[in-house]
Amino acid sequence: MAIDAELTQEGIITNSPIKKLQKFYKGLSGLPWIWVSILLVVLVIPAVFAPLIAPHDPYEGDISIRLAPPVWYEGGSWDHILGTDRLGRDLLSRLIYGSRIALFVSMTALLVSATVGTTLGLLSGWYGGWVDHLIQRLVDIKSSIPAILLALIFVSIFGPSIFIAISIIAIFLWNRYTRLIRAETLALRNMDFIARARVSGASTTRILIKHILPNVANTLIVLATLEVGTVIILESTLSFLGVGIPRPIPSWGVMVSDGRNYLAVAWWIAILPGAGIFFTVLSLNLFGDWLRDHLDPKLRQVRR
Amino acid sequence: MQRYIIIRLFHGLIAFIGVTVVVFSLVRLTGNPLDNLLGEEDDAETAAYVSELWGLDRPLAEQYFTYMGNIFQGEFGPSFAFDASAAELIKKRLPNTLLLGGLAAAISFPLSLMLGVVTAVKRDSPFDYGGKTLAVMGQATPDFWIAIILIWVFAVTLGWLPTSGKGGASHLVLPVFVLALPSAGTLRLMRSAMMNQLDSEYIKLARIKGLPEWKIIWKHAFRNAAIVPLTFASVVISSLVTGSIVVETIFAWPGMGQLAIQAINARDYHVVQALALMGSVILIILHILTDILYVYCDPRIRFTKIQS
Repeated sequence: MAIDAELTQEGIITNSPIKKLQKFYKGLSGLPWIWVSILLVVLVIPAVFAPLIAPHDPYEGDISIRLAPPVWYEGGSWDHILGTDRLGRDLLSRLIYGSRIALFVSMTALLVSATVGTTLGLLSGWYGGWVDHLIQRLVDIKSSIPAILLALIFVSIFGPSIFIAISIIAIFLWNRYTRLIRAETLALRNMDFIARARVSGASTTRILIKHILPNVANTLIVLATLEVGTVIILESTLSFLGVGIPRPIPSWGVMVSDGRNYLAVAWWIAILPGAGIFFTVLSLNLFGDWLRDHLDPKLRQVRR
Repeated sequence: MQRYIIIRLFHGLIAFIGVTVVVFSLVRLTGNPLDNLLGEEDDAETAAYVSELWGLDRPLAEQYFTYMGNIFQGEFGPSFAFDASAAELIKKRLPNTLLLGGLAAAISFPLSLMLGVVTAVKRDSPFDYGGKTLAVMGQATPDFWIAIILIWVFAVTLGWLPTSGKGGASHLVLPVFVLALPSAGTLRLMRSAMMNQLDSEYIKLARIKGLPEWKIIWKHAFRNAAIVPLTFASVVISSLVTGSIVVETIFAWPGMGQLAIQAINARDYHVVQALALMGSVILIILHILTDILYVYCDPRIRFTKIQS
């Protein structure tokens, strides 16, 4: 908060350190701690410290102990807390490494799509005219191809890989940034401070990067946060269908798919990775909602 | 209005051409298609013959126009994996997909509109909060996971419903339910649209006039609010297209979605292309239709000058 001075009901300006501290605490208590901690526990900490936390190698399995039950069932052991899958690989270790895949893929895809989408949005809003038309037609074409079908074409040509999965997700998501950033740029373009920057001789590139971009940064951050959940669901869906992350890489979507045929004997193989996706996306979405309300209330209508 | 429709159709055409160019070049730019058609032992003479037979020795632009001509004749090339052409395969599978998608849309759309109205009218009731919680949770749940949980509970554990396949009405329950879930987003949209209407002046007037509450809700507010979910319809239907691939794969439903995955696993790219083009054409037509319908249904837009 840039403006520290605050008028209380009595009209006295309070800016004492104690008041500041109280305000800071109040701000923190508004934070949905529960969502952030779920995120940390399910996604971030396992992803960062995977080799340290994981009790076993996620790729190495012992076929003699395949489909072992979790520890709370009869026959389960503390060695494999959540049991093992059809190849005898430790489920907990695979889940932990799976969060690494989810985090890596979603962050990379997000970075690519946000960069491309923002650039196009800035250009579209700034130049207008034929540039705008061209970019809008690109958006049309993009939204005419169903994401999964595009993924299918890609995979039928290149075969599944992490790189292809990231590209598909990035291609699928850039247009949302373009639409929002274009609208914001249009609104900013005719403002006085832009005209002044122009008069003082700033180049277009400089105006876009130094003057417009910082003003759309809040929108960008909020939209990106809200998109992480979409990315993770899309990635896991593609992986589930066999056109995302290839086996044997432990992606949560692949793990659900692996467990599908063992529902009757070992439900945990399919259900637990899905729970990982669910809690991650749920807390991401709720955290994003909170962020939106605090950073950029304009976006309130954006969520579908 | 007419001008708007023409411009919209023109944009649709551009999008269609763009999609075909994307699909065409994706397939052609990834190396010589000859490599797919020839084996290791084939010599240069066979290669020349095959490339002439398939028109691969022509300039790319000419190949594209031949390709487009074939598309308009419904000719997508033979399937490598199945003993039929891509077009025949799709024709056979289409009714199954339409049955599933149609049922899902027919059930979920009216239902979520109604529930949207009810939650808006009974705002801040436990019913409203329940709806909100479910919507938030639904957004975080992958379709395929819900489908698998449902199979686990109702088919494997309880044994009430079949796990997969096509058959009687009981085979339809789970797939249709899962397919219908994403469109529950309409509920939230309808709720906020309805709340906007209920807070407006003309509703106040209607109340002062002494109209019965049901008339105010259904005859005045609902009609105006229903425009908003209408634009959402194209999103819902495109999620049906995507959803049907997931649902048909999980429930082994012999439709186009399952065909798509089978074609992928067999690297049957004629079929994949045909399906991608069909899906795109469906989406383009839907986008145009909803845009036009939206303008048509909103007199404020209809009677003012529309800019493209």
